[in-house]
Amino acid sequence: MSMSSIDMATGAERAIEKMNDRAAFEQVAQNETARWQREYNNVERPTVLIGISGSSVAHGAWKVYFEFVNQLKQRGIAADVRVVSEMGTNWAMPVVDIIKPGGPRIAYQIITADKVGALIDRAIVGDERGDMSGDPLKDIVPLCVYGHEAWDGATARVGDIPLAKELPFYEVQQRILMRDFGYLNPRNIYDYIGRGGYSSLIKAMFDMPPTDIIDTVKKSNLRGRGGAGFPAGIKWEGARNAKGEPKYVVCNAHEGEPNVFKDRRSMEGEPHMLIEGMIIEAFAIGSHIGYIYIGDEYPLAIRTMEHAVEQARAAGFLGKNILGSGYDLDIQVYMGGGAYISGEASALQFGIEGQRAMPRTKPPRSVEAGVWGKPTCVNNVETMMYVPDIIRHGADWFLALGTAKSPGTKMVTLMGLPKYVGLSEVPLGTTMRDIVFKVGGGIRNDRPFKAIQTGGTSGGLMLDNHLDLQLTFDNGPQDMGSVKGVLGSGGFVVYDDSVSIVDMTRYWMRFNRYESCGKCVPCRIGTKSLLDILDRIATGLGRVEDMDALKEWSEHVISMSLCGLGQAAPLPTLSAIELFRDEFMEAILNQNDPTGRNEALVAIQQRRRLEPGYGRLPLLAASNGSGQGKVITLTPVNR
Amino acid sequence: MSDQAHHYAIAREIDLARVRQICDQYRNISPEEALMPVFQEIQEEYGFVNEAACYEVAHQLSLSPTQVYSSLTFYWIYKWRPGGKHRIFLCEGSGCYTTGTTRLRRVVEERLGIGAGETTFDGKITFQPFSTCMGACEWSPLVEVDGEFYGFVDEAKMNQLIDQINRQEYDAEDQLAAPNSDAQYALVAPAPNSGDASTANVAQTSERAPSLTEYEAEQSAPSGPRPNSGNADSK
Repeated sequence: MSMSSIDMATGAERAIEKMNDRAAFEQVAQNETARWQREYNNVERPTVLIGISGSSVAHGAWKVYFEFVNQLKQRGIAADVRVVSEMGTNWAMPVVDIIKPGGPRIAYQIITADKVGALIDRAIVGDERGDMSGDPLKDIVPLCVYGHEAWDGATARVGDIPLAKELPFYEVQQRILMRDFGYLNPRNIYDYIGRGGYSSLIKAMFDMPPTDIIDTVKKSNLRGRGGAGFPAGIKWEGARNAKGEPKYVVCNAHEGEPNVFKDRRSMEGEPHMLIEGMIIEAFAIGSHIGYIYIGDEYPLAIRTMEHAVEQARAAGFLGKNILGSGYDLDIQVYMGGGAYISGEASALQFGIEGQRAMPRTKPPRSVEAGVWGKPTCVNNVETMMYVPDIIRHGADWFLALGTAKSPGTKMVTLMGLPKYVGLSEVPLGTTMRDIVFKVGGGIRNDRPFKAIQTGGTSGGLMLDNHLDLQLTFDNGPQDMGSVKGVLGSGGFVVYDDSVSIVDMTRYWMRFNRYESCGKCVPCRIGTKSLLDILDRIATGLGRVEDMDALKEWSEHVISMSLCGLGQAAPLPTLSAIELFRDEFMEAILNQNDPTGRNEALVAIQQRRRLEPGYGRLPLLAASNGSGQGKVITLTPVNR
Repeated sequence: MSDQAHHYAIAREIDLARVRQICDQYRNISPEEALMPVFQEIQEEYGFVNEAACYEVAHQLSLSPTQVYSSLTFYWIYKWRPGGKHRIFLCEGSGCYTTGTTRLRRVVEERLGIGAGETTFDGKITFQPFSTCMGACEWSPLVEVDGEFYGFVDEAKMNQLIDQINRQEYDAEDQLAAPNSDAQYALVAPAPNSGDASTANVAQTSERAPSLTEYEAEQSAPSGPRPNSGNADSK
């Protein structure tokens, strides 16, 4: 091998040659595919692959990397150590994969730096495979066998080690966007080209007129993955037909929800797929300036993205006269200031303009008047990442995935208390039960399932009897939308019976109240008032009328707010008071919390044991709690 | 936040000449667009922004000071006073909240006497809970202290972490001050049940994640580790 693997690990030391035309690209693509085959599929020496992402770094993945490099060098063992993107198997981090010449790719879970020596002894020098536990400090447990080309490519088990496809986590997954996660080095553009990257760009730019590209995307019914599910093709068409120059393309990478990290992981893992999709989109709508707007909280994503944009520019995919087509485009990574509302399309444009990122009234929509008042097409990271594949395989391929109304797959982050916390990609139409009990592996410590919170901060709860509904954007009887479940950006939080819903409802409202930009009154005052009520209930000062007030005021906030944040902020509350009415009533009437997690109520209960009658019960008001009657004045209870 | 370089040195003033220098780097784009990047650099370099910097940037970029001020106060990354030498980040994403960050918050509040976003009176510790997911929810609740991550943190471990900072500061003061310096100079009150053994335990499990720049520097150094230089014949 001519190149040291460290060079490939960073992708930084290899000089990038500028490609000036299509023929040059095709030559490079051919060489890189051959290199991929040579260096990754048929390794000549034992190869260690370490997945790097924001969270594996938190688990010490760099430390593991350096430990491998140093120990292999000290012991004079000929082996390669490579940095790759990360598979999404968070619960097993840091994961280390080992390929021996002619052998399978075996992943080992929870390899901290102190286990590296043992792993080298047993799996690289020795030929042990399978469960190597025994020494309690150096337990090495294999996770699964991956294929050399794709995560589900392995066909034969190794001893007892299951195939990736056989793990419950992977069982229902279908990885389209995430197919290269764990395979390519995000800091090396040639890895992406070697895996077939940028060929869709060539196809779109040289073989398809822009209107064809838009028609293909329109026909594919690609729906915006950021939350609203608006068809991307219609947005593109609007942007193309809008009057005004210049036009802007903006990638909305400002995720910011407290339970979603799919965009972050995508940018850390596969930045070039996003850039390719963005170039195709810009070409289709006739834009020459692009922004990738990333929140400040994602340092690794920002650096990876900036590096990727520089590489794409050096390789000739960005800049003047891209690949000799006469088309110019430049993309800039723009760092936001970390306000959740910046992720709203119209707020985002003000963020780029250096103003307070507050949404504005619509119309005009951002495709007519966006950044600097010019036509702007704003799409989510995941939406843009889908574009290369749709161009490559055609609209019909895409329509065959997922359900009829919501085609495609969706990246889903699952957190809270499932066994397998992680990032996965499932076809739309998968039932929620599969998501909780297969992708999530059920509840940690085998506790009973209580509920699942959908749609980031702004979706309803789903109970056990709702779990057979499907993961879609729609509201049909089979869809999760029928019970206030929202797909949104694909963040789900699983609760077991130890979680107090009263407390969680308060948490969601507190988040929305904190992130409300304060521009429109219903959201600014409404979220505050709702939070006051929820605070009151959670601290034992609730009153029965509060239930009606929550319902009525929530509806007001939903109907009158300016932007999506206010319109969705009370949804978790509405859903919670409907589904967990008993828990709220218990908190109001008895100042008691069955889960014991709501600390204020627990304190009241403890005191009541010493002083029977401590804390006067609130007077029952005339309301029957149905939400029909008029809300009675809410004077604070004097205690 | 997670692998970003922190600036632990406590700067009290912002050098306006440096601010002008930063502004000069952004002459090629429109002033409105340059506003955020300029202040992000100032924030990165000094750990805070102040009014003097606002006026200087407004002057340099020909914007009104009100516009600059209004933009800056909207985003939470800009701090208006210098941060502490040590930072405690508490993830309050929903995954972590579900597993109990309220108690951890109370531990910090009770022991250090500071709330969210505040710094201890001596400028040693800043406490910052934040609700943006760090993407390491399998470890929840997650705490980051001075760039090191600690997973599955409970009240005892949170106490240990604070002890650890306390000890670092205390030791440093020990060396500076007289050898008979007393526990009254300790930064915070010691936790009831925290011994050396438990602290050593924390130190053992701590994992220092090198930042990307550090990593690159190591890679580009000629003496950097090269796995391929191993002899293929020797096992």
